[in-house]
Amino acid sequence: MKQNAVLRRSPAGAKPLRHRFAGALSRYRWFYLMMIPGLLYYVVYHYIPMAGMIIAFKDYSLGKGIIGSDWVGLDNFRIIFNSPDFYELLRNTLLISLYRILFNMLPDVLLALMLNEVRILWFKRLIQTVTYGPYFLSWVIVYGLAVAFLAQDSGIVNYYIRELGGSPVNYLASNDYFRPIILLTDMWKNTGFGAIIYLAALATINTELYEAAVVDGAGRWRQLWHITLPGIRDVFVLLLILKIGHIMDAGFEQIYIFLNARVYEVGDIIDTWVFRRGLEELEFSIAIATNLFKSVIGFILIIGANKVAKKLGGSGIW
Amino acid sequence: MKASKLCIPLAMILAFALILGACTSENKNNGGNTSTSENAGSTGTGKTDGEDSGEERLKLNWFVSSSGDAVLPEGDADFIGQAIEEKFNVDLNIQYMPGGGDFDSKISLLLASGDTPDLFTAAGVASQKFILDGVTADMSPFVTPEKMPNYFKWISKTELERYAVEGKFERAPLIFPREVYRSYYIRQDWLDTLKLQMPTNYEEMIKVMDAFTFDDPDQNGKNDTYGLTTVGNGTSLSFDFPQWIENGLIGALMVRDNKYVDVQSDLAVEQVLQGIKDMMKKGTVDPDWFLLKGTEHVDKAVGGKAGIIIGGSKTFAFDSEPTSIQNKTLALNPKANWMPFHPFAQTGTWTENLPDQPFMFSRETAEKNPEKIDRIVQILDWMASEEGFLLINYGIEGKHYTRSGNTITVTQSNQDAYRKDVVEQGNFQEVYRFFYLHNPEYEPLGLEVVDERMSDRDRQITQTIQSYKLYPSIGTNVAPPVGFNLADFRKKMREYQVQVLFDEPDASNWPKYVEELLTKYGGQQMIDTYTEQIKAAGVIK
Repeated sequence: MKQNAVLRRSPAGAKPLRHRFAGALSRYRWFYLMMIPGLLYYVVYHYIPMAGMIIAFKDYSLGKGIIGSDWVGLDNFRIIFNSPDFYELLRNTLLISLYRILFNMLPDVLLALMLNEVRILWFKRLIQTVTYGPYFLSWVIVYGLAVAFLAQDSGIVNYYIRELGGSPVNYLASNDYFRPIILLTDMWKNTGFGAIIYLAALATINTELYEAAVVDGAGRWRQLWHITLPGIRDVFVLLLILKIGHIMDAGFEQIYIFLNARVYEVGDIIDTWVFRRGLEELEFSIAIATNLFKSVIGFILIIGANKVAKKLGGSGIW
Repeated sequence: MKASKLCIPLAMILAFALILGACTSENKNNGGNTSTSENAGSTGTGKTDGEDSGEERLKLNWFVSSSGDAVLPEGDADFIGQAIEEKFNVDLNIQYMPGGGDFDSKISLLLASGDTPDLFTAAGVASQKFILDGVTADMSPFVTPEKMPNYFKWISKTELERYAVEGKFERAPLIFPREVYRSYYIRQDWLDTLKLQMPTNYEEMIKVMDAFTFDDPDQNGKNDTYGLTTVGNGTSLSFDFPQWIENGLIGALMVRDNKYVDVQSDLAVEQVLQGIKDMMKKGTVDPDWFLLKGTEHVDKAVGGKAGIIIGGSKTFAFDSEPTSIQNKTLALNPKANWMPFHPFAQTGTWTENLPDQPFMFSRETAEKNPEKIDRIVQILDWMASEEGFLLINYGIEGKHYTRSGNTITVTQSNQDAYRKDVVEQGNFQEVYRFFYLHNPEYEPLGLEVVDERMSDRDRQITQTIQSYKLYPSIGTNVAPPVGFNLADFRKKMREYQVQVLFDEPDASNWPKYVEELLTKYGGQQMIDTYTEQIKAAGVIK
């Protein structure tokens, strides 16, 4: 740093800049070379395809291609915002996303903290393995399980309700139960896996801190409050910011499988709409326009959240 | 030092090579069975003594929908592909996948990338989009009675004309079955136990359903059976409910009093909804029906939970079909006997079939290499001929069937040979059978098939179902107006239907919902457009 500052003030100011660049380039040439495949990957597969987004402003026709299709300005966006159910979709998307942030991040942390307190190593490993197992199941299987438990006629839960003299409830087709079921199954499937990141963060906390706290007379709760939680705060904030950036994605795969006509009112989200409209009806322009809209919102939120996180004293993502 | 300097670039080259390798191998997968057909092609090049020996050998790319279990085999097991390549002097490269969302995406991708297959199939909605987008070729120089005499034995000229999209003759229907095998099936053994007669009309059917629910037809002492089971896929009001036809609503689209009727959003649906509501309240229909998906209702019927179910295929309850509902139920209950019936057998059980999926030609190929399309037309016409039909659907004569006059006989040993040569070779016939949708029928060719495995009961079932009366169809394929969002309209319609069905005290709100569907969701616009199209076809005045 200091050296740089000295260089900048050196008399031959104009030339060295290029020199320095060339120098750095040759000095770290292998590193730069090694970066190329990675960069190429991003350019080829992530940046060049972005040009395709222009069809959000076009009436895309397969025959005319991306370049040749007619420009329609903001018509596609008008269609989206004027479609009668759009605000219901938006509301469902945001609500489900917010619930997910709330009810999925906290259990992750909780499980990690509890595992962290377990002293018997084999038991800890066992629990960890058992809890992240469901992560590898597909949503179709999880839905199958949900049906086995909750179906109105053949589900276990309703079987007991009937045996005990109650009247069966059609949980999977109920506006009241749809979102809780989505969140519970999500929690069941993903909590074990989500805890791993926090466990990793917990493992990096210097054990001397705990020893020092014990010497100072801190109990378990005090240690938790003053050492453990601050230790994972950065990771938590990082994940929170990332999740906020994805607030317009309410989990297509899961919702698509769980959704049925009786719960459209609380469960139909933007992505399922895009699926119906964009893929089933082949209206690519509408699909792209919606995703562009989603991305812009996500982008703004992620920048905003990062700023807020930095203001509040923590560190953001960058 | 030197060694390490060399190492880094080498490692990088290696890494790069790996990435590239991954890419190319992926391409190969996407490309379907390029290598296979090339193999087959090279065996054929030696002997160009086929019909078109004078013409140059052409390379043709096809993209067709097939059943999920079909795979073109390596080597020379594929006798159909070989026959085509030798006969027509072509290298055939067929890509295939099951129809559905993935198929539509893949073909759209191929079309968008300019890598258009010379011949491709598509679902109805997608084909309209392709035609309006201008990627398909005008078929008038190619698909003519002169060039395709055999094809026109299956599909009439009127059907072809009415199948056009906005007056453009750029798609033609794949050969589709004329017979409709949709029928109710009932547990005859339950009827016998309860000493009931086979129902012949709506009222009797409802009575039998009541008896199946409350009178313990399986005699297990528990109240655990239902009259009817069906599948709602979590979205829709199944057409399996007899209340539809009882209230004069048949099929998905129909003409009533010289007017087009969108069946599912019609005002008469109010009575349908009320009828189903009453039935659900009584508890004679499987309460899980709405959330059941795919064929889960069949499993329930097999498990002895319900006594009536609708089957759509010819072999649904055959003895000779190992996976039929009859054989599956027999495995659990040796007395089970599923027999067909229809409460509306005399008046009309369904509408006649309309052309289903089309095949289309690439516009690019038609402009640059019209000779390729000509050759494809020859191949397709051969596929529609008796020779092609038999090879594609029944295999090789003498080996997989025997023939005397117009009678085709399939014995058990023929069937075993077929299993060995075709089914175990990837069931590859299904790939070529893209040209014949669903159950290919032999009647239009004047053939008769004697399948020795079929039992008398099977023949009786076929006879019963073939005796059902059908309503005429709306006579033409229709396309929704440009800009109209069919998906949103249907979604809202279904939402209202299930709301009435499950959450409201009666169906009296339906007319209000229909009003909203017609105005706010553009339904009237759709009905008007369909009406015009049907008028243009001359079906209504």
